[in-house]
Amino acid sequence: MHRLYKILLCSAVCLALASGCALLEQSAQQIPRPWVAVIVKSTQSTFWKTVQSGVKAAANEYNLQYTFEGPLSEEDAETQNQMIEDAVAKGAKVIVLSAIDAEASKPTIEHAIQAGVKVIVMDSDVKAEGISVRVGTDNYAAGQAAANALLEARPDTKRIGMVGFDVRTENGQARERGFTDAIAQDGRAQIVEQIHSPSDSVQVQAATRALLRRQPKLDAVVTFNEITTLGVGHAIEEMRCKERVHVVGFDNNVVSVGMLESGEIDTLIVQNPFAMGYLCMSNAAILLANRSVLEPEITTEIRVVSRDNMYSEENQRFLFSFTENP
Amino acid sequence: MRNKRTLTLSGLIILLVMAVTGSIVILSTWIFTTLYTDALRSGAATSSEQSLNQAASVISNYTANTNQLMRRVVLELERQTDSGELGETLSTLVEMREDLCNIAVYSLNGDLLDSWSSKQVRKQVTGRLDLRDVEVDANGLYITPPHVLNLYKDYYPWVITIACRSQLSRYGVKEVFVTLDLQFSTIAAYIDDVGTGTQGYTFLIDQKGRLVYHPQQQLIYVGIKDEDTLRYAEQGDGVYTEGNTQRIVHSIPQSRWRLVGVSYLNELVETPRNAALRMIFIVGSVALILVLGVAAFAMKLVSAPIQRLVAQMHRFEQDATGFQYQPVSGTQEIAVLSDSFGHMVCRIQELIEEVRHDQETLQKTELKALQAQINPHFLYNTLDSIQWMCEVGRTTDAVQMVGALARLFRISISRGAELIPIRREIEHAESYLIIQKFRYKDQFQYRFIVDDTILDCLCSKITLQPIIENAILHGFGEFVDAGEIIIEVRGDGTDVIMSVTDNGVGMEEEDCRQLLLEQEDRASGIGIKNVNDRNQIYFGEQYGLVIKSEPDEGTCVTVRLPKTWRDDRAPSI
Repeated sequence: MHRLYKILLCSAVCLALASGCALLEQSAQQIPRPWVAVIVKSTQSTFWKTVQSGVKAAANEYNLQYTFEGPLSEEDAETQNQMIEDAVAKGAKVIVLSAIDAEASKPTIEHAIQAGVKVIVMDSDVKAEGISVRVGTDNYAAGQAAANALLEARPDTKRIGMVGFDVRTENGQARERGFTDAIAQDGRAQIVEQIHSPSDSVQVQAATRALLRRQPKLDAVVTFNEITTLGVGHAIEEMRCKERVHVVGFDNNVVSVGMLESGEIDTLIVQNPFAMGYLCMSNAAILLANRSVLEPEITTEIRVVSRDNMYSEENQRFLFSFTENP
Repeated sequence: MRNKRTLTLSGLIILLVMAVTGSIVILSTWIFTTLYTDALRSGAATSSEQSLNQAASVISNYTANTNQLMRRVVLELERQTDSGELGETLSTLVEMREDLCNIAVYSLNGDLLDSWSSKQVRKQVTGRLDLRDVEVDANGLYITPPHVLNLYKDYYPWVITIACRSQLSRYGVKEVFVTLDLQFSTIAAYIDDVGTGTQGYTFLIDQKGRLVYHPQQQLIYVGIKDEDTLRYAEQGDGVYTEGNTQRIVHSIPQSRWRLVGVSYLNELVETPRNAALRMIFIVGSVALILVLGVAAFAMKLVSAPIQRLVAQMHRFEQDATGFQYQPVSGTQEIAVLSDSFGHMVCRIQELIEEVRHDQETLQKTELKALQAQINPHFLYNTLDSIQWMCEVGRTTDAVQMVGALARLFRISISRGAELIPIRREIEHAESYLIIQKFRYKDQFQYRFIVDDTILDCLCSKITLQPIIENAILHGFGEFVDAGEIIIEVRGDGTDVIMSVTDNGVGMEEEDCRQLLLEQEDRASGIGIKNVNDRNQIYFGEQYGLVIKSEPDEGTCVTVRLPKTWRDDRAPSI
């Protein structure tokens, strides 16, 4: 009798424990939401604001806490590294990074990974081992697309000026390579001058003005991010050469869209920043649930938008945010 | 002692209780789950439909409102002649309605003729009114899908445009389109919160299945999410369930828009059901523990006293006489059992005591009987008689006497057997009579009347001799010359009757009784009582001696005993 009774009692206690665990599991859903630190290159441009919209949408959907920060200047890799270190110290579970300096951020990120933080790279890569997911545009292909769009819109292009941004930044370099390779492959046109300027529209404007003056016979100017596109647009407006010079820029904001409409800018390679922000967070949610991500490399779409097709149903969805920016 | 595999009572009861409780819990859980799931399913559909209905009537109001606004705008445009005053009125309208961002007039080819807006309109406008894909509805209105309003500098809001053909003279053309551009804020407020469960949502499509408003419109626009809206254009209103997803399509009254409510059954049905099941599981296990506890307590109440009772029984088995019974307390049944056991113990102890007492008596009486046989006086007298016989040359008599004496002792001892065949007993009695007849010089005669069929039946030894002795000593005295003793042995049904009858002095009834009670304090022989005692111990109370006597007539002592044989029925000794 005693043995039987003991067995029964044990099983009853096991049942009780199991139900207790079930209760705990239920209450475990109430614990503080995990924190994802999103560290980008800047919080100023429309591109990053749209990224933030995507981050916010996914954070609401997946019930995540997030911070969204970046240095004031898109060249300030030091501040960015400090932000990564702070995020690790404050207990971020996942860091979403868009690296300003692919080299300089390497030790910081590797240290974070060693500390057990999952790292997702968005838009601009860092040369570190152990990155969980990469989300962003295929920058090389985007550069090629810019070249092809230019050659298609202006088949008679001969002389091209290139306005690049920070040479340390991985995505800018990839876009430049894509563009240069595609132009070289085609063979009709030639890149006559290549300048680099910090991502500040006033500085870019000045640099572009100087370029246009040095190279009066330029047929086209190509530039690779949102801020430099604005600078180039302003320079074209200032120099009143929008008919002569075909401008291919990257990304969109209300100003550059206005310039596209009014002709200072002719082609925009538009990325999908909302999708980038959203996909980084949805993958962060997957990592936080300790599941394996479906794809470690996620490529977001780009669109080539010109004055003629900017109000097509598809392109207006891409160019203009449906929700207000935060 | 106990077999380990045998199920104990308590174990059995606990198992039964567990089995019954378990099956009741499982059965009720099953019934509950079935009923609850059905209720949840229909409840989910009903609540989705209700909320959708509500949203539909709100949006219906909204569109009716907008129609009214359109009529008012057209009226103002027709009525007002002063363009400054007109501009003021229309601008006020735009200001007042939060979601209205622009009132405009377009030519039939889509060129902007005039506009009143909350923001500064760009000088150079590239946008045109494009109504190619738009059908006119019952109210004469064209309602476009969402598009970007390309009218302002640095501001590109998403709007739906409502247009109405109107004949206005002021623009110098026959007909124009009057348009209202509406932002989504109001519609969003109506739709965003309509949804059943945390994942459920609602969206708005037009008659061609194009998306008007979706809570995740931006996600759909940038290609992260996809909503297959086109198929609802053909479907009628109703509830469509596809696996886990339930979609309810609901037309909006007075409008060509339709609302689609999406809800997830796993969330609406499985989540609450699982929560309920978890609760049942917890309650069930707690109940099970309680039942076990109660059963254990009940077992303590029942089983423990029984075990104490069993332990007492064991002790009783070990030491029946020294056992002191302590009553076991417990439920009524246990108390009854305990009492009965107590009674039984007392009775058994009494019986044991009785048996022991009987045994002692028996041993004593037998010893006495034997001692009586070897009574020295009797022996001296007999031996004296024999000596005298030898001296006077009565050798034949002496031989007979010695033979009788030898037989007397041999049968008395009988190798220690208590019960001997009647044949032997008679032989014994006869030997005694032979000796006494010599000694009493033929003062009496004796006779045996024996039923031969019962000679092999058993009787306790030395039964007849004391009775005969009594008859000789007290029956005849010294003055009786013609005394006679008749010894009769016969069967009486299942019994054997042995009687010794004399024709001596007899006695009073009181003396007869006294004879059976009297202790053996006489020097010679053993008492009648001894015979009676032994017979009653061997054969039972209903057997024994009966004495009938009449003074001056004689005495008859009857011994009654059952017919018994040795197992092999063979005469022993």
